[in-house]
Amino acid sequence: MSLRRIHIDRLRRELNPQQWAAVSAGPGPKLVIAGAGSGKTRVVTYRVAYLIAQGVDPSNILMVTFTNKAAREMLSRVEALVGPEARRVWGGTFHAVGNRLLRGYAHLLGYRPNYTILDEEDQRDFIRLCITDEGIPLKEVRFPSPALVRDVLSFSRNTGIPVPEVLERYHPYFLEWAEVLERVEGRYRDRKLSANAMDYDDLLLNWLRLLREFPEVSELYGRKFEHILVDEYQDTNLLQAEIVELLASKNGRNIMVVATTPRAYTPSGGRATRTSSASPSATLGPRSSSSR
Amino acid sequence: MRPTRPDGPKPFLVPVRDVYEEARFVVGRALELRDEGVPLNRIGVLYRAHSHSMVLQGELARRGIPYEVRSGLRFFEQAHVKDVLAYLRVVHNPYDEVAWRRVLLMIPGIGNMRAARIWERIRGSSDPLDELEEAGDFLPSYVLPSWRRFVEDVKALREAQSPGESVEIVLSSDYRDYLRTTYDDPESRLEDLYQLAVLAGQYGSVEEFLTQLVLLGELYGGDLRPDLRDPERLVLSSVHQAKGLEWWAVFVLRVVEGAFPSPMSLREDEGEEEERRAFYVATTRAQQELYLLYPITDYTPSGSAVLMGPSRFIRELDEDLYQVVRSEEMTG
Repeated sequence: MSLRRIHIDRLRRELNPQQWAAVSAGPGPKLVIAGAGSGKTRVVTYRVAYLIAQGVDPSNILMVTFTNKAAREMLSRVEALVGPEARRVWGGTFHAVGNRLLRGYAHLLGYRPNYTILDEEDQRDFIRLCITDEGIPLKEVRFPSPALVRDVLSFSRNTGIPVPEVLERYHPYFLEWAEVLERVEGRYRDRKLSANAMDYDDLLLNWLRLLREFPEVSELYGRKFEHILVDEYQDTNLLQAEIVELLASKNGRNIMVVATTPRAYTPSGGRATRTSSASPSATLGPRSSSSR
Repeated sequence: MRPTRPDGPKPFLVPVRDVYEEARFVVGRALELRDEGVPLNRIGVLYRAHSHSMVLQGELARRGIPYEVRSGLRFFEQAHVKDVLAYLRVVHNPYDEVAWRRVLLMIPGIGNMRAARIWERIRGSSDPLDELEEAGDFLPSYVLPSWRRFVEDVKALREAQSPGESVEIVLSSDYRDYLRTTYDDPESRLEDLYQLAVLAGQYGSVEEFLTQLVLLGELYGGDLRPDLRDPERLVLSSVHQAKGLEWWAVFVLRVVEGAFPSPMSLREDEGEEEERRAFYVATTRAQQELYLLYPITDYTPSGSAVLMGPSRFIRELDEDLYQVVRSEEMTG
């Protein structure tokens, strides 16, 4: 019996029939909805192991998770199942994967590959400079703090909701500054570009731009990632969902997204509903026989 | 009063090769315990000085394990750490405006106006670092010596072969004086920065070092999603802030001469007694398992190894009170 056969038989033995159905499903889009504790992480992990055992090159698998911790834990489990080649899987958070890609293509977007990634304090410092450039005496007028401006701009970029509307909805008492804030937004964008610096949101936005504006790049990576898996899909925001959609549109929609429960649009966390062409092909009941 | 809890295993004394192995041991054993059902938030890591937690924080960040620090700001968020990283940043990405501002304002005689003028002069250049010397030619003569020294430091940073060496260059520059005159408690901050150099020694390039610190230091995107903050976090605390707290398992780092007892407090009267009480606190926080770590070597910022002896508080203990384990016996 071949090693692959042995691996596959082992995977099947360790899963319940519902899980096995999801793990061994054929090509095409798959949405796995599972209750908490029903082993959805297990499904993603075993799916990756199954694909490798089927002969898919690990470097052609993209597995996106919500934390680096999750990515590492899942990949080490895949490694335990099918061996060290699992390390070549592209795994990580959206930001980490975005950064890895952008280091190679930054020049297409007017950046240099040695760009700086700004942490929150750096972002506030940049924004403070932009506010000063607008001639706003921060100590004299009641202007939103750089930290709040950062949050408003970030929310707007992640949801696609324009800045004035974000103010109107969540910070109406600052609405009088809407025009100034839009200009600050523009200044902040220019300033980051000339400083060769990206904030967290840029790692997603620029990744999306790269795929949208450079068809040869999206073709390349769409084809490279023969299989895309996204964990905690209910928590992806609009940008992340668009990135996934774009990549999946180029790989024959070989995508598996795993979600806890479908969640409606909740404005507070910078998430938004999105349309997904993934269709349910497997549903796991709550608390099935998997162990956690 | 008597202890009411049934006996757990005897405390473990764990000699480890160096501070990296110390960090790996703690992380490895903590993950095993977690696997056995002890959540991370019931595991405490204690140390005598905040700087002792640095290499461990680096290892936790690298492996994406959530943790919280009870002994002050998270290491990478502290002003003096960001100062040093700003030097590395301007050399890695010479267009990094915010890092330039931070670096320029640390030079004596340079304030907002002059910093802005220098930035204006170099920002448009194809290589701002090459323009640096000339960009300062308008400075008054009393500022020029420190400006020239800064330019020399930048030159040295450009030639540095590793992130560890880069941090070391900053630490031997005028930044030392800045730190001493700007911050309270400069000696312990300096100690932090030596640890930063040790931590940097683990990374292959400045880019990798900077990226990992900002991207892996936290569940990033965590700022967007506070609900994702994992409540299950390993607890890092100074011994002093651990008074009255307990964990299922406790690791005490750097139980060596030169670290615990703290050399600074030994200089004071009654200092040793004070330290012995702190050691008592550290060793009575564990409900089940206590690990005393004893790194045999430490590194100076320049990378040379220094041999360390076990703490006097261990040497004065009856050997029946603890069991010695080699780190490889516990984690593979």
